[in-house]
Amino acid sequence: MRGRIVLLTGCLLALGRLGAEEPVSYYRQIRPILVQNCQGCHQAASRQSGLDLTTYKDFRTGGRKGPAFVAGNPDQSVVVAYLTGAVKPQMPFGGKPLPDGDLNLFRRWIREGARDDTPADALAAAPAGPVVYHAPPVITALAISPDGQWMAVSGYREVLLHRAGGGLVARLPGISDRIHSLAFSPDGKTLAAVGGSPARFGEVQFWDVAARKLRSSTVLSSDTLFGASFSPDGSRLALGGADKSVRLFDTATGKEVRKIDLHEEWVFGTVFGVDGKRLVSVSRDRAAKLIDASTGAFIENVNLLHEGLNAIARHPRKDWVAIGGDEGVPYLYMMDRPRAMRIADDSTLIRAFEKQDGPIMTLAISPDGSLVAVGSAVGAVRLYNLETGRLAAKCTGHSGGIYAVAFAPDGQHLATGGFDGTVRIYDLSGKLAQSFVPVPIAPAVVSQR
Amino acid sequence: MKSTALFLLLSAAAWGATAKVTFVKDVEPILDKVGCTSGTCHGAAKGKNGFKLSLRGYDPEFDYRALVYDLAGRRFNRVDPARSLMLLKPSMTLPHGGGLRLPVGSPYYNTVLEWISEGVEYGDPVSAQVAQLEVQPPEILMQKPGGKQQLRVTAHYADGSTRDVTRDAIYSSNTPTIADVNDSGLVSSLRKGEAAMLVRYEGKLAVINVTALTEQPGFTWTRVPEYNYIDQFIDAKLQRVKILPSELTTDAEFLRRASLDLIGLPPTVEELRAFLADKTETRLKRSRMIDKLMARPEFVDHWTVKWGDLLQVNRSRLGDKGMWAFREWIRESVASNKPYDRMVRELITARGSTFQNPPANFFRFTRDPKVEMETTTQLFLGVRMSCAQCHDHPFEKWTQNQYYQLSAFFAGVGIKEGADSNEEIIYDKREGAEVKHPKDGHIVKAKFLFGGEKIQPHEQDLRDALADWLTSPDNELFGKSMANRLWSYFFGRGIIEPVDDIRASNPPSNPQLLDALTRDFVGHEFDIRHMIRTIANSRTYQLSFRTNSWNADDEINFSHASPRRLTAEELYDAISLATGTRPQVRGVPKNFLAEQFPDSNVEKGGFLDLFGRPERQTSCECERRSDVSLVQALNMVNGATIADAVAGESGRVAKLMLSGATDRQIIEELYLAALSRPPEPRELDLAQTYLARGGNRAERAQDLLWALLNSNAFLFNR
Repeated sequence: MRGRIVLLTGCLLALGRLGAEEPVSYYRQIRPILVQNCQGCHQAASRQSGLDLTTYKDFRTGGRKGPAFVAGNPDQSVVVAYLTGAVKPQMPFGGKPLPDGDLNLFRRWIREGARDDTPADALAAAPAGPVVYHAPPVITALAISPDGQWMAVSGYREVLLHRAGGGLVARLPGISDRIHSLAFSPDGKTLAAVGGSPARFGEVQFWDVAARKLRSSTVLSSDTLFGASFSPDGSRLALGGADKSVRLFDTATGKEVRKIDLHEEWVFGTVFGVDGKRLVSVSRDRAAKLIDASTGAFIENVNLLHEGLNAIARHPRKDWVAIGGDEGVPYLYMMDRPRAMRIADDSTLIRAFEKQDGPIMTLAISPDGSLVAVGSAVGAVRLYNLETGRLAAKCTGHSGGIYAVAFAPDGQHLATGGFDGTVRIYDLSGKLAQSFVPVPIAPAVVSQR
Repeated sequence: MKSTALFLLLSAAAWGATAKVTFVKDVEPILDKVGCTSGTCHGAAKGKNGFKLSLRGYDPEFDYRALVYDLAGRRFNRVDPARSLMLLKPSMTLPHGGGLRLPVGSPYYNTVLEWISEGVEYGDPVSAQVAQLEVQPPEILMQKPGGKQQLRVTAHYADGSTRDVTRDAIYSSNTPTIADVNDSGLVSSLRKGEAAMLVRYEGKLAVINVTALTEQPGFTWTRVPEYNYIDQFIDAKLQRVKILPSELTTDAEFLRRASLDLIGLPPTVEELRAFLADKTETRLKRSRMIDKLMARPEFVDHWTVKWGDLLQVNRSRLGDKGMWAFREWIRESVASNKPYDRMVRELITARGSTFQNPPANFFRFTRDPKVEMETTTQLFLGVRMSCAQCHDHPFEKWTQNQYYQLSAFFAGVGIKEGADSNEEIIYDKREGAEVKHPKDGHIVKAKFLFGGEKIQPHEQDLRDALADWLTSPDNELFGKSMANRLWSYFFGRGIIEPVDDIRASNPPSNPQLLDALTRDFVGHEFDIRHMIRTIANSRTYQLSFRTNSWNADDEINFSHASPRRLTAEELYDAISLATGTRPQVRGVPKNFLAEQFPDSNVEKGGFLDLFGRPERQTSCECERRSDVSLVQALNMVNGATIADAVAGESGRVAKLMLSGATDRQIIEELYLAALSRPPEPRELDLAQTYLARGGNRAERAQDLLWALLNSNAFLFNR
């Protein structure tokens, strides 16, 4: 018994000495306490008291009570006052006060200068080397280049570039767990990949297609981005985000040029009009909003609100948009109103198509404008004649939801992807022409379990 | 033999190794247990922070889609399962407003991780359906507070397999101050009393009754006479929980109580004197009085008020003529002692003119199949279905589907204008006679809540089929709910309380008694008077409100009477009788008692409403208030109702003054008139001193009556 006590004391002494020697690390010691105890309420998604504690910068900025700490002076630091209960309500709100050990870490860290030692590559936090797949990831995005040569498919933390007929030619790795949207610029030289890591950050990647090189990466927001689309002249990229914003990026510089805050919920899709002067965005807030692309000004809602919208696609030559969402009904709307708006006016509606068996997740209109492809969360892709509204074909064979559909530029084929991780290529009669798993699958290993 | 056993063992092992974690059987219970699906979190009607699950997991398919398909599979990660959002958030690796729910490496965390690693399988909802929840021990008796008992919960699945789900079940107590249960199913008793532990798992519910006793040194059960079967069941329970019942009431107390409960009026001075003078043996004398009271016309008035409350007889909905017609139908039903099942059948199947066929008025206050269904189940089955309108009932077995299936029986009820103003015709609709499910808009087919296999609902007369099922002797809840309701009219609370909230999680305080009453009621072909007579003749009903040291804290076992404030109408009439006055009221025939008023439009906004007369807007027994408030007390002390009544020119005091009665005679009569008993010697002394103090003798007598009317002995039926 006594021996054990001595041993324990020894450990404590050792710990104490260790503590005395090494300064407190924000990244390794302070941040985990914030994650476990504070970020539930103080994060971008809720921001209690105007405070976000998810990054060092936000922590330092503080909230409504001013900066969270005064470097070098723990006793004048707001965070210490709240954690000790010197200022009420004591934090963590409604929970147990932090143990003295944790409090002392905060005090020491502030006394030592409250330095940020977050590693530069903290966001990525990815293991070195390419991702090893034992099962195909869910396909969330796919795009076919304007010349019909390449197909880009979302992977896990990467984009996979295939020959359009299949055949992996390059892996384009990034820091984002998920790629929600892929788009080739009209000249085919640039590939935009938009996504992020859920509840962490969003990212916009611009790739040089020919060189297979990442031209620029912009990390923004605290959650993922969606629904990228190029302007017809290729100079701009529009995208939506979990932060309810629509953003415009400059293709040449890869920089954000405008942030448009019109929606009340996550924005899942964007599309420019034929002349590029206007764009339409769709959101979980149920609205398809018509926006002036040069000023970001709201023009009007294109649709009557039904349920949350997930997808949008534009007619190749007309300012007509197909939209769809949780209601499962694909709608075809025109961007221009045929007459002055009246209350509960739906004069812009051209056609409502057959209701799908589940929420619509993705839409595409064929290059000749004759067909609309509808992918839903219950694993069906259906093609409808845009003129008559009639069902033209069904593409079957999927298991699980469909999240991406794309027509080949020749207008003869449709590529689909979704939950089951397989790319399928159909002809327009719904006959499966080809299917492949876009990622390299490592040989199975025997489970240790 | 040996080889068979070995084979079984081997196959079990093989099965264990290959059985995949599935959503329905393994993951959904975790979401419920750790609170993800609770009403304050993602189970809220709008979800939380963009992520919605079904309330308490009643819709596993919805929850599966939310976790696996929503936002293109955002919440799970097939390539790196441990980095699935559905693990990162509840383990607080990433910010989570709901806090730490699945610590990394905890058993639940590992199950979810395994489920994702194995390919997020949904599983077979049929074989994974929990058929039955078995809890051991089925009942708990603790000899003293502070006792502890671990529950053991086993789920029996539809495919015959079983699983110990003690860790995963969700526990709660209906009276945590008496006995509580923790998250792992450990029951602890805190003080003497009874409580029910609710155990929920995957939509199934079990209830474990806990009785906690105290050591009662010196307690010995004393056998008292049992008048009928009611007393047997009551005494058996009292003996078990170590409670001694109170003494029998005095004759005066009995007469006041029985009169109020049977005819809604206190006894007159003459009735009292005759009853007290009658030397017949107590039990027989009381039994004869019960028969006598039940034969009085006021019996019909009194029970018409109760039915009027339940059936919402109210001219603001029915119009004057409809209201009077409906009331008359009730009066006739009560007067002829129409069997309860026939009465309900006439209501449910009513068609035609609301003037010619008054029970058709039943359909005029709701005008919506859903509300008609809710009213019907609450009134005639004692079941509240409203929770199930939007989701499966959280504390009961009723599902959202059942809500609409039962509503469909009323889908064909049509209402059109009649020939006379305010007359309406109830008819069977041919078109649009359907109820749609809110989830996907499909037309729901009518189906009984339970049983009813022998009854064929055919398209033409759904309501007739419903009446067959509802009033069938096999429909246990039909007889039980009414037996329980009738009981509550004599004791101030039901054996199940509230009387119109019967559910597994609200168990009866004496199930054997309630079963016996139900059998008796059904066996006597739903004869309401038989039940009233049986209850009033029990010794239990005739117990004093004065408690002893063994039953002072008993509130649920009927070991003593519980004083009940007189209802608004009873109080109003009791004041009239005591003071010998009869206020003139507009809108009703001269000399009508409040018990005869047809609805709450008479004397609206006055004394009666202050004392809780219901407006008759709901079918809930609770709409009639029995509360005691300061405003009521002030009205009694200062208000015109009492002041005018005691000073009435032709009232009791005035007459006594003229009669030449002595002070003693005056005092005795006032006590009999107000409190239904003679004064005690000390009271007589005090009152005599007061009256003899000189000045205006009439005013002093009025003061005395005023004081008596303001005493608890007058205000309460006890």
